[in-house]
Amino acid sequence: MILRYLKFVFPLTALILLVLMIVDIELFSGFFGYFSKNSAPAIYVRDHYANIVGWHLFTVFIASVGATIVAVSVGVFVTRPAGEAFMPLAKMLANLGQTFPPIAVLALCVPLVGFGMEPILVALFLYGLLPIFENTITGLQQVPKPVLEAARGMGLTQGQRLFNVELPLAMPVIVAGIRVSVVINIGTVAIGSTVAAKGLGEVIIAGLLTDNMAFVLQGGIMVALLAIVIDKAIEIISPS
Amino acid sequence: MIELQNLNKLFNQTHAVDDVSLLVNSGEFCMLIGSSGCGKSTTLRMINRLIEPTSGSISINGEDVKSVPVEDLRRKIGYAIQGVGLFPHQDIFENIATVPKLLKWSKTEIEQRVEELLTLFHLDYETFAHKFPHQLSGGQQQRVGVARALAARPELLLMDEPFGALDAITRNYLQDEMLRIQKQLNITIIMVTHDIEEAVKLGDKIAVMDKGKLLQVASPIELMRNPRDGFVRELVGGDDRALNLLSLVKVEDVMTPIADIGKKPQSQHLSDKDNLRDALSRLLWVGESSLPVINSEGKIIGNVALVDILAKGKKQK
Repeated sequence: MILRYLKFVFPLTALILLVLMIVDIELFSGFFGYFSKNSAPAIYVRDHYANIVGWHLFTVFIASVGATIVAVSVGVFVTRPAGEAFMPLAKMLANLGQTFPPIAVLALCVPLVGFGMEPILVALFLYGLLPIFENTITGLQQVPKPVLEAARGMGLTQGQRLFNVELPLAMPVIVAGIRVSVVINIGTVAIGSTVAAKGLGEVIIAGLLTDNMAFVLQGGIMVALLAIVIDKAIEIISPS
Repeated sequence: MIELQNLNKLFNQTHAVDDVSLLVNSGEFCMLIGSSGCGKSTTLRMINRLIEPTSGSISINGEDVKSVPVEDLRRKIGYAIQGVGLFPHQDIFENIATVPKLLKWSKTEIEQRVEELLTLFHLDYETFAHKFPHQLSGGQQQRVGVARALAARPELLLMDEPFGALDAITRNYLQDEMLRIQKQLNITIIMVTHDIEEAVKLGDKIAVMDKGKLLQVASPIELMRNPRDGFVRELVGGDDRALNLLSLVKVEDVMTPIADIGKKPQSQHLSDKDNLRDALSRLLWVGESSLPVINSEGKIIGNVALVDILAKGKKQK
C-alpha cells in the first residue's frame, strides 16, 4: 500500500524541487553556500535557470524526435519482407552509434558543423537511436501471428496492417524505448557545453573550471531531477 | 460454387499440394480433412490467396480469384482461424466492424450489423460490444472470431481448424452453432479439420487429403460405408465408425410412427431430431429396449427400439 504511493511521492518531490530551483534558485543559496569555498558565489547567475533548463530540454527534444523518426522508420522497414535483408546491417549501425562515445562524436563534429548546439545534436541523435530501434523491432515482432494472419485474411492492405494493427500493438514497447533514449540523453546533453551548447552542462563546467563545487552540484542535481521527472512523465502518458 | 482445378503448391522441393481438384457447390458445408502437414491448410489458404499456387486455378462462381485485387477478394470471403486472431487493442464491436469499415459501410449500417451478429451468436450486445478480447473466454472469443468473419455477409466462409483449441463441451456447442448458422444464412463453408468426428458431424461433403493429394471426396455416409483403401480407411475405420455412422441418422428416420394417443410422455423419451448415436446412448443408460419419441410440441409421435438402431450401425454390403 505504502509502496504504491511511494512510486509517486518520489517523482513528485523531484518535480517540486525542480520547479522551485528554476523559479527561484536563491531559496537554496544557504544549502549551496556550504559547498562554495573562498567566498566564491554559491549561485550561478550568468543566465536565468528557466532559460538554461529550456535549452537543455529543447536540445534533447530535437535530438529525440529525430532519433525516433529515423529509428522507428528503419525498424519498420527491416521488419517488412522487402527490408528483412537489411536487419543485420541496421542493427550493426545502431550498435555502432551506441558504442561510439558521444564525446568523440563531438570532437569529430566540431570541425564539420562548428561550435554550438549542432555537434551535440548529432551526438545525442546517434546515441539515442539504439534503444528506440531495438524496441521497435521487438515490439513489431511480438505482435501475435494469428492477429497478423487474421488481418491479412480479412483484406487489410499492408499499410492498414501496419498502422491499424502492428504499430498500435507495438506502441507500448516503442514508447519504452523512447523513454530510455530520452532519459539517457538528458544526462548526456550536459557534455555539449564543452562545445558551447546551452544547457545545464554550462553550470557544471563553470563549476569545474573555477573549482566551485556549488555550481557543479547545482547543475548535477538539476540534471538528475529533470531525468526523474521526464522519465515519470513519459511513463504516465505512455499507452499501457 | 468454388472450383479448384489441378492445384499445385511446391515449397522448395516438397509437394505440399499435389494436383488437387475439388468442386464445392453453393450452400455446401465442405470439410477438408487429413493429418497435420497433409496440405489441407495450404489448400484452404490458396482460396483467399494467402498463399499463391505454383500452378492450377481457383474460381468462385466462375470468376478466377486472380481476376480481382487480392484485398477485394479477401474482403468478400470470411476467414476464421484456430488462433482466432482478434485485435487485442480493439473492443468486440470494433473487431467485428473491421471489414464493413474497410468496405466503407455507413455508421448505422455497421452498428446494425454488429448487433445482428452478436445476437446470432447468442452474445448480448450490451454486455459484450465494448469488452476487449482478453475479457472473453476461449469459446466466446472464437464466436466473435466467426462473427467477424461473417460481418460483411460473405457468401463463402473459410475456417482453419477453428475449434481445435477449445475444450470438448465448447467445441460441441460451437459445432451445433455452425450448423445452425450455415443453414440460417445459407452460405458456403469450407472447413479444415483433423477430427473425423467433426467432419462427419458438420460436413455435407468430406474431402480427405494425405501427403498433398486429394484421396476421396464423398458425403459422410458414403465415406463411412465405402472408404478407399489406405489412408481413408484408416481414418474412418476406427472402432467408433459404427457410432459415427449412427450420428448421421435422425431418430425420426427409423422410428415406428404411432398415432398420438394423448398419453403424457414418460419421463424418459427421445426427440425426433436426436441422432441415433445419442438415442443409443440414452437407451443404454436407462436400460430400456425401446423408448417413445416426441416431437417439438412434446407429443408422442413414434417409438424407437434398440434393434432398429443396431441395424443402422451395421456394416452394409
